[in-house]
Amino acid sequence: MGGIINKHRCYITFVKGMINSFKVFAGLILLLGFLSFTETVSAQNKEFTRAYFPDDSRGLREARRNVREGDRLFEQGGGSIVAALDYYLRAAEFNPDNALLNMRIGECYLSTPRVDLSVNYLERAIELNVPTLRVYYLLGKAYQQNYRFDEAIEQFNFYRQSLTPQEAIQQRASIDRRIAECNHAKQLINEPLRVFIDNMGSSVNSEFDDYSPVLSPDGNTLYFTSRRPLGRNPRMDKNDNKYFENIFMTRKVGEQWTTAELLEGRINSRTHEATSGISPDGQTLYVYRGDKGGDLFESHFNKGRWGKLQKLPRALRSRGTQETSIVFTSDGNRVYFVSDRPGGFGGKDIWTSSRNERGRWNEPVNLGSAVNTEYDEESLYLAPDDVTLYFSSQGHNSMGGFDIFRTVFRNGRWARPENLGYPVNSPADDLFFVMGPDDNTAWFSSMRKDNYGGSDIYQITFLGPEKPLFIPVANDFIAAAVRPPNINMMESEMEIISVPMTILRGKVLDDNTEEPLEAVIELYDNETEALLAEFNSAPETGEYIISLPGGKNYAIAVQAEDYLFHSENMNISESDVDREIINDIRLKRVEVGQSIVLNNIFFDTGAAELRPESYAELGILYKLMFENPSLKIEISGHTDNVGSAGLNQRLSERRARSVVDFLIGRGIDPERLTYKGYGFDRPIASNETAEGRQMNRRTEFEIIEK
Amino acid sequence: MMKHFFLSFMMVCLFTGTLLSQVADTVRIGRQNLMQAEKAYNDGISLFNESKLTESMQMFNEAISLRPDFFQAYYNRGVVKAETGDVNGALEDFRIAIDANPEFAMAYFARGKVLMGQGDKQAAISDFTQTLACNERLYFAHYYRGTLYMKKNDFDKAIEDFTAAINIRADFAHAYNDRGSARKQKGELQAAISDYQQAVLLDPGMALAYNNLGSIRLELEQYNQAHDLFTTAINLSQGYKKALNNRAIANMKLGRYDMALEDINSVLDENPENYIALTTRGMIKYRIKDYEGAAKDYTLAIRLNPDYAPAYLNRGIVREMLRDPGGAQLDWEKAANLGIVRASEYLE
Repeated sequence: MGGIINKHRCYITFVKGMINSFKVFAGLILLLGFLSFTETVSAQNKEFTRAYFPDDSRGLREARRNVREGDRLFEQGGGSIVAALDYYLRAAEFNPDNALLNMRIGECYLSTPRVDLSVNYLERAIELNVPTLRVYYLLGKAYQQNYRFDEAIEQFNFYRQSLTPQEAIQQRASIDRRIAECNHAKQLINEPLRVFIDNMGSSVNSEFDDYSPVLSPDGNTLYFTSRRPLGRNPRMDKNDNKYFENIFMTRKVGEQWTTAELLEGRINSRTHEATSGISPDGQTLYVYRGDKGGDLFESHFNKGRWGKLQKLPRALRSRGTQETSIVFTSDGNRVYFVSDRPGGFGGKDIWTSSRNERGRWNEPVNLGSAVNTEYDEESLYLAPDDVTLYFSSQGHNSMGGFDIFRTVFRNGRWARPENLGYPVNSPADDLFFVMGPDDNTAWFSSMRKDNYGGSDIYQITFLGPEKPLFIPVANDFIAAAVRPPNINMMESEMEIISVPMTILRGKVLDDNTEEPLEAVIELYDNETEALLAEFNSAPETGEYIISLPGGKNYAIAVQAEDYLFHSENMNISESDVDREIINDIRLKRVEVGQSIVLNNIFFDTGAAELRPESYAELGILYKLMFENPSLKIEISGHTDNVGSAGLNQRLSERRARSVVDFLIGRGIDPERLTYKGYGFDRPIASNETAEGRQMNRRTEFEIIEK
Repeated sequence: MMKHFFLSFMMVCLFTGTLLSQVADTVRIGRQNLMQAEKAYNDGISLFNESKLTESMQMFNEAISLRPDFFQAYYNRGVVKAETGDVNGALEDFRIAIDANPEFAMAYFARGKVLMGQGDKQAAISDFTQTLACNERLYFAHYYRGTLYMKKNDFDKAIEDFTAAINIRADFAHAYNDRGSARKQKGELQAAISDYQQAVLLDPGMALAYNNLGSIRLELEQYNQAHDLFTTAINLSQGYKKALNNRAIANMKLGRYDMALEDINSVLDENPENYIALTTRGMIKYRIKDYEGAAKDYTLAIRLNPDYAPAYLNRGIVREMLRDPGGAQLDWEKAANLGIVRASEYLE
């Protein structure tokens, strides 16, 4: 390619060229659309001529000089591209509107880590109607390098369509390859690896190419190749205008790597020496030496230093071919290496050889089409399992340039290589993968945006498979916890069945003074002897009130301190229902001579045996005797006047005796008890009426002694 | 009969009313106490139904004082006590009711519910079982026992009970929802979907069933459907936090991170101490690679609930991305200790 100044053409010439390039109608339509667009919006290309810069001839001269120098360096290629870029950028400061200059700058940037800057220059070049279709190919590359794969594919397609049939035949494979890479990249980016990728930093990397890390088996020493200058007069390889390769090393101290040092010993020389591999025991370093076409050598670590490079066995070398990378199995009996020797699939391939029974290497064989492609394979790393081989390739499903792949030897064959994935791989060249002993860390070389210049060494930290987050989905699994079901917890209401009632009310009074008394009133069911209620009369008024179901026979016993108890039989008939019965109760003080009627002592007619319903009253009498141990009483029996006097007297006496026997039977001293039958001699009511006769049939007691 | 009762009652009231201030209380004998007790009891029920719990309790107290063996009154008073939070009082009343009538199904049920509320699952299950022994048609005893089996992760028994409840009462949406949940827990997602769908068919206002159904759609990666179901739940129950939380997740899964953040922020605006929502927001921030923000949310969630294992697990993942492997390690250890099995795998 010629220089920018000599290449400029006028706009019409470019259009004609374009029209000639398009062979299909669709392409023509596209072009016409493109032209009408550029005609209206594009800026004008400015040549480095006086016509455009009539007032600054000095500046113009300087700019033209910068362009010429840039062109010269650009033609050299390799390491000179960066230097060319410098001149071009200076020229562009003077004239930013030159189409070819913009394209050159864009192209230069494609060879640097700042590929991101290339896009604007190439787009600008197109805007300025750069007179070459190649700009579309370059822009495609720029988009690819910048992960703008769809746009890249568009540019590559456009470029392909614009080629003459002859050009198309020549370039189709390369363009198709680019498009395929973009499609691979789109797939790989969709499933990124969980890794951290860190530049090893300025202590290891330099502004020049640093690459091919080789790790000691213990993981603590990293050997690598650098093209940084050495000494006062560093030598440059005229083939690529970069300094010669030398081997450096860095050591791991804690989590840090020491500043890189030139490897001591007898390995580095004035020509290329590059790291290629290391033996599993770490005692042999394999080195690529660039003179005489490039071959692999080995150096042994002895007495604390690396020894002189020695040729590998003849079987592993080949005259006139280049071997660049080599790895051995852990037993040392098999080797894999990269060579461009004949018999491969194209470019550099991976070959293998094994030792025979005599310890000699057999004729190497190509690893086969499963692994090797028509493109270059490079930079081997064999895992400690001896069957997992990592390598870089420009073929397979690379996303651009060299990608790192992994293949496994299984069942007598190498499996289809697997792209290690994004972001380990990128559209740029990714090479020299080497795994650390912990399997979580690896190193490789690449040229990325965050580098220090040229290719740099990066550390990969594998994070393993995606660790699923806990997704805090909130459920209400149990509905009742949020919305309790409607359950009627209450027992249902009851139907109330009413009973006819009688009110019994009255006052408890001192029999003598009629003062109200607070007395204990007990109410018994005479039939069942059950105590129905025990309550007090009101202290202030002596009043009481009882609501009783009618149609029953009750006994009321009333007691107050220092008073004789009072008992009463209450037969509430059905006719008493719903009415009030007033019944005042008069209590007598406990004094000699006082007597009271025991109203609730019952006998069958003509009999002296106590009926069971008498026991409640007898109990009260017993209690009186028990609580007043000095008390002596006389129990007297009385009858009505029905029957003979004798009979009634005997009956009354027997009944009085029954009461006394009851008390004695409960433990009351007989000495305190006397009894007497009075027959009908002491009536308290008229015997003429039934009521009166009932009142006369009674049992009394009288206090004899207190 | 009624006239008779009325007269008697009026008499008692009259005398009681006029004399009460001068004399002792009227002593009532025999059936009239029962009548009074029953009336108080009935009044207690009416007052309870009017949500007048204090007054209702007084009525049941009176019923019991008038008739100390009135076990139904004890039971009802227990229900009121349970409602007012007097758990021990309720339990004692239910015990008395059960002692008086060992066949009293509702008393077992009510006691079971109180015990369930106290977290005594086994005792509650025992009471619900006893309830059903007394009356096998009490579908809600099946239902509540099923919920307890759910809590004990005995999903087969839970399903059995929910099914029994449904067999007795086919329109019981709660049982369908919960059976769906049990089936979901067993991984029977299609059967769970069917149950949740039946629940919303029977009770179209059951927002929680829509939410649960949405969760399954989320699990099945049917994010659009999940999103719509959560939206329905939110519309049915305004401010339904769980559904908002879940819709945030659905939006996140759909890549609509702004909407996801909007949903979850609306939950957090109302309650900034909702540690589950904070965990969800942490997850969304993680997805948009705002690792610092995610870590902050998880840390706050942990501060609010130091035993919330998911926040530790997720913060560990974020810390790994923040190049803090030591911190991640500690978080996963904590999550593992709190019972998240996969945290141990992360440690490996």
